[in-house]
Amino acid sequence: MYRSFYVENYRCLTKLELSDLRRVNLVVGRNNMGKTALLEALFLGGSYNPQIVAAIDIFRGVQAKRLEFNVDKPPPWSTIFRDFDPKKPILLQGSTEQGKHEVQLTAASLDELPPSLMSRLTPFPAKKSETEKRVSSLSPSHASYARVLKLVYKDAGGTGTHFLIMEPQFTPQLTLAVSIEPPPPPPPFQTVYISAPHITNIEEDANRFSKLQVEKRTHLLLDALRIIEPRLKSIYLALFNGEAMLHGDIGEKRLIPLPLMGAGTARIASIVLAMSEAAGGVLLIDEIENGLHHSVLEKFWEVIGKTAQEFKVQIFATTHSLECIHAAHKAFLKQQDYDFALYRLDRKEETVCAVRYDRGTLEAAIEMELEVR
Amino acid sequence: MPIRLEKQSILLVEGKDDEGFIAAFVTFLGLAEIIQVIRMEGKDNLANCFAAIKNEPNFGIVQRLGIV
Repeated sequence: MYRSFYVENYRCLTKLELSDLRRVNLVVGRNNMGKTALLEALFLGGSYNPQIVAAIDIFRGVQAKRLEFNVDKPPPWSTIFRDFDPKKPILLQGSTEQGKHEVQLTAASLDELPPSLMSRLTPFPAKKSETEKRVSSLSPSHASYARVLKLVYKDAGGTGTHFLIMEPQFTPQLTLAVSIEPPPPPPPFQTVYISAPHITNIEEDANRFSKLQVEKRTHLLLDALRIIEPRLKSIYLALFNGEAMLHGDIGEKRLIPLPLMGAGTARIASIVLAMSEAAGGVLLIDEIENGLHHSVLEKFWEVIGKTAQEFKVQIFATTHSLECIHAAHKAFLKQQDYDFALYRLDRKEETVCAVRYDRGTLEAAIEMELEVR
Repeated sequence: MPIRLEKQSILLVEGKDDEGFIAAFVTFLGLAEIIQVIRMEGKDNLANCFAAIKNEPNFGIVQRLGIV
């Protein structure tokens, strides 16, 4: 579990530190303050694999339709760097009970690749197709089109350097080859991300539910879903249109596919199942209240707190909802240990900083009816 | 709607009765444009009230803080 987390040069976050982190951490702030960017930074900071950089924009629903290989164009991952400048290294530092770990990401030049890797880059073909001729007219060599991202990690176990190499392939058409060299080690802990424009990943949820069944912990999901569907008797995995899907028994003549019971049901199911997946690690949830009616929020947070404790998962979530903040505070007041903190991202001059609310400060702000978002 | 700090001078008062009286007095003095009256809901929680005020997003505009 993170005690603190530091981000440098990630998207709009120049230098941001979150300290005294808790089991559940709720992040608020105006639009474009970097709430989602912070979650992404936590996601990147929990992995030693540079390949996940390629997936980070997809969380926001942005996916490049085509990649261009022109020496003058920025690399596809430049969007995650401060000012779109991959030469400004991204630094992600976390402090946990196990010690400190650090991930640094920066664009690398081909010269920085070890000779063994450089020799593996495809030599420019002697016989040129029309595509090859077109591309080769822009640059003297094939290798110069390659884009390299360097990830350096440090933790108690040592340090490592890994490269993400993207290079064009000319057979039979211009395609993209992605390789990670050398193969990265496993992450220090599991990190799972649930994005705001949530579309239920039926297969992922089914797999996670199967795991929960094996562990005889499906009651945790059932308890959570009963917050918004008290009639729910049990949950099954059954085929729907040929796909394994979660179904709920609410006492009707037949089982109902969970995603068809409502957005809130699907959202809660995905969150609880993601917690089981992230056991011992970190779960990141963007706009956590999406799909949930305000009247269920307090019970929802009670379940989140209890389940996070059960799976030993640390949660970072964002919200714009004042009701959601109040509900979280009330829910954690009921728990034995108030393992919750609120952070607001504010912009001071050109820098985004975090304002922390502990139990007493948040209680006072709520009683005084002060703005906290 | 939650309360936002909007004025450069903030006057913290203990409870709802104080808030009503002091706010009316401030208006009577013609100072309502420059003084904002905020209740703390109890005097025993002063440290947390200060922290909550300091954490409010607009605290940067505050130049004077008074306590009644």
